[in-house]
Amino acid sequence: MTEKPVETASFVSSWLAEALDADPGCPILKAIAETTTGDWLDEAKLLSALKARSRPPVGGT
Amino acid sequence: MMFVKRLSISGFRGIPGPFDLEFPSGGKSRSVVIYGANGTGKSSVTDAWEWLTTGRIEHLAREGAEERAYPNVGAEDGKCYVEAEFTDPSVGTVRLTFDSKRITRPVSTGNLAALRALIVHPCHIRYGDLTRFVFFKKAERYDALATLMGFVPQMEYQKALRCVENVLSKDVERLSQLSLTAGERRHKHFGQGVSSEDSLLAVSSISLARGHRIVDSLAAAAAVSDALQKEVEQDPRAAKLAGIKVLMAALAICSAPHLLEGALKAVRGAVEQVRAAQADKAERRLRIPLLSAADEFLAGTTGIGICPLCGKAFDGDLREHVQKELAELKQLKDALDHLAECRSTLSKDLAGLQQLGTSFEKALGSIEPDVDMALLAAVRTAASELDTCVSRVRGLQAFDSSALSDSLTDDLRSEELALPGSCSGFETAKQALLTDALTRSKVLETDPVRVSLVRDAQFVRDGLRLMREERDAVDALAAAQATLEVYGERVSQYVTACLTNVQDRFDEISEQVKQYFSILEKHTPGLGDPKLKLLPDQDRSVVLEVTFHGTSVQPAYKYLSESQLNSFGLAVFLASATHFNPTCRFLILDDVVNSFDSYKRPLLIDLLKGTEDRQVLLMTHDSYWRDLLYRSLPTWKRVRFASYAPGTGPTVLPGRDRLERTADALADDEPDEAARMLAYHMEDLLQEICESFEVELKFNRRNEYTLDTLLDRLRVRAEDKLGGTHALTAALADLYGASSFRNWVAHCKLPAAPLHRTEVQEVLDKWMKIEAAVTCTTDGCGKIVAYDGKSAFCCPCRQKRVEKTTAAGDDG
Repeated sequence: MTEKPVETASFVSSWLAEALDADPGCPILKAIAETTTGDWLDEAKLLSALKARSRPPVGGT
Repeated sequence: MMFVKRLSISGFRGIPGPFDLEFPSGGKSRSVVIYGANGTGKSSVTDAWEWLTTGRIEHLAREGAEERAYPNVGAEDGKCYVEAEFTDPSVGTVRLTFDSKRITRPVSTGNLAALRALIVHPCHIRYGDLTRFVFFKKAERYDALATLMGFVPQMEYQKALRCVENVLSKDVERLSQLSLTAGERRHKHFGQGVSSEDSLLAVSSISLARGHRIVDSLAAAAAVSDALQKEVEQDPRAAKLAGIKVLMAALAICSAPHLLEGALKAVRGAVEQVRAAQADKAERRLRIPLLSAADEFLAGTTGIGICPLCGKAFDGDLREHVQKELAELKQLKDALDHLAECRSTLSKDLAGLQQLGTSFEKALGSIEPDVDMALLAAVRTAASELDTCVSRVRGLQAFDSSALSDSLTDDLRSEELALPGSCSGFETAKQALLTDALTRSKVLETDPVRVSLVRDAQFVRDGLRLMREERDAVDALAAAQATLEVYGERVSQYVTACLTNVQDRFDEISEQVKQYFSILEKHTPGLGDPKLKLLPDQDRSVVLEVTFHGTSVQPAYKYLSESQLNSFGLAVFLASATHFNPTCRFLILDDVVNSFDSYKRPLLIDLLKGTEDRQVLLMTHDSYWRDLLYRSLPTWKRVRFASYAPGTGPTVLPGRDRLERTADALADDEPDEAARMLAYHMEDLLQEICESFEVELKFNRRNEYTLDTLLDRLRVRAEDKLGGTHALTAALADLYGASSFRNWVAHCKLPAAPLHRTEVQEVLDKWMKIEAAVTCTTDGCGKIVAYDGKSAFCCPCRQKRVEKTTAAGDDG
């Protein structure tokens, strides 16, 4: 009936893997990947990682 | 291929259990139909399957009922479980047991991972899923589509990504406001409209006048500031004066947020207005377009007190009622809009506020000014109190505007009263300290050279701090914006990938959807070619499109009825579940035909007959539909949930069709009950047979007793087409001529007229011969033979053929 079943469960990880392949150095993508488990995103952790990134170095001239 | 052999449920949802459902195997069908009235525990079976195969129950989660709602109220610890046995040896028997100590981590035995890996797509659907699909808005319909087509996890991930994006956007908004405030403070110091470069120039000119270097950067300004501070420190009186000046400058930048009181008052007033305009029915404002259209329509109609739909008279003026309702809702909408506006103002005011205490200490730095320490402490205390008050206001402004309460207005009012007191407390303390500082500074300002040095040092020091603050705010904003921009791009990429995936999935099954939809909508001329179109410019938006008499209609619900849209949803689910589940052949259809009328329900049976390689568990509370299923799918196992008691759950009995129930009633010596049951059955069947045989009938809508006419005309038709000696003609004549039939047919619907057991038994026996003669017994067909337009009667599978033969008594 069908040639290849669509693996819904792995959609997120496939997308992440493809995006990281295309842009391995992207820190934002890395932060997304690091806070993702399976299809689940830890919003609080991602937010804190992104906010830490948005903080410029303190005490610069 | 994987089928279910057994499903066992214990202590789960509405089934105290244990309840075992054995599925047929080795026979012609593996499918089961469960009939039970509402509330007998049928849907608990679907819930059990969903929990076993996905680990959660989506429709309960949507209502906020999580795992604690899964066990039956009387279930003992460790006795709440769902177990299933499968034909696939790699899965075997799998059990999931609820653990009351770790409610989100049930204990599993068997190869649960193998089972879940084989169920690529959800294989169960409830009527509720179809109604969601029909009635909801675009985004909500997308969610429903996710359930039907099995992409809930990726959609939930998308929502989580967007949620983070929203928080980041709000953060950027806040930083933007802080950046503006920092700019305003610098302007206040250096002069309105002075750029950052010109601010440096101003510092530079002081530096040059004092014999220092040109200032072209913040670092250079810092060096000059340090040098001037050293010069000040060399003169003790100058150092004292400088300390007092720093204090005065620190006090100058700290002002009580007087505007906040007005904004808070406006919000409280707006909240009260909304509450007065029936905030508890805020969703009613969605009716405004409908009521506006009704008002417009009624303007063109005549006859007050006459319903424009049915033409009947009623009390009152409909237009007046519509206009009144419209005015109320518009008032409510205006109040809600006003509230949103006031709230936005308050939010902006709060976003620009920094903590007074922090700002003051930051401006003061490590300076210990030579002032009255008691007055300085009073300022610090007042600033702290005011900061606490503002912080409470911040917490209050995050209220839910759809659930405004008395306590919210009370809290707003109390802060509205507390805020002026805190503001004036701070201003009083500030003024007292300023007066003290001013008095002391006058004593020290006797030497103009010293005053000039202190003033310049102070100007450079404060200017440097303000420039740094602004730079930090601008940098923070730029960094947050950059993060948001890149993050937003990534999220958009994910959304695009999702939409593409969903569209691909729909394209993959579109032919099957069309086929299923055409079966379900066989009786609707001109309707077909269903499509799902995703709106690429929106996150989660889907519109339905159909072709109606050659024209594409979008959105489809403009033209389609509820049941037609349900057909659409059912076609999408069945196509997805069969296409994307190549290994798991099991399907649960839980009350999916509720909106289908009696003409449409047989079409679902036709559709199910086309998926014979599947194993179906079909549940219904509709007895008419049940009887149709029993008759049309004779090889399916039948189960009946007869009654329900809280402690014991459903009473599970074998399902009996109407003929079997007639026989049961006769066996129980209940001839009246048997007669009534048989009458309903024969009336239905005779109508269907007469339609298939193209029997000419005189319609009489007042005739309650149609059995006699139906049988008589069928007998005439059979004699005409098959001959008087054909077995069917003979069986029909035998029944029609029997005195038991004549007596029964005249009284079968009259409870007061008793019938004898033997009479009903004779009618039943004779009728069963007729039914057997016209029904195809081939598995997957089960249809009544129909006139072929020539001389015979054939079923759709052509295995059963009734025709005139030369040999007398032979029915061919």
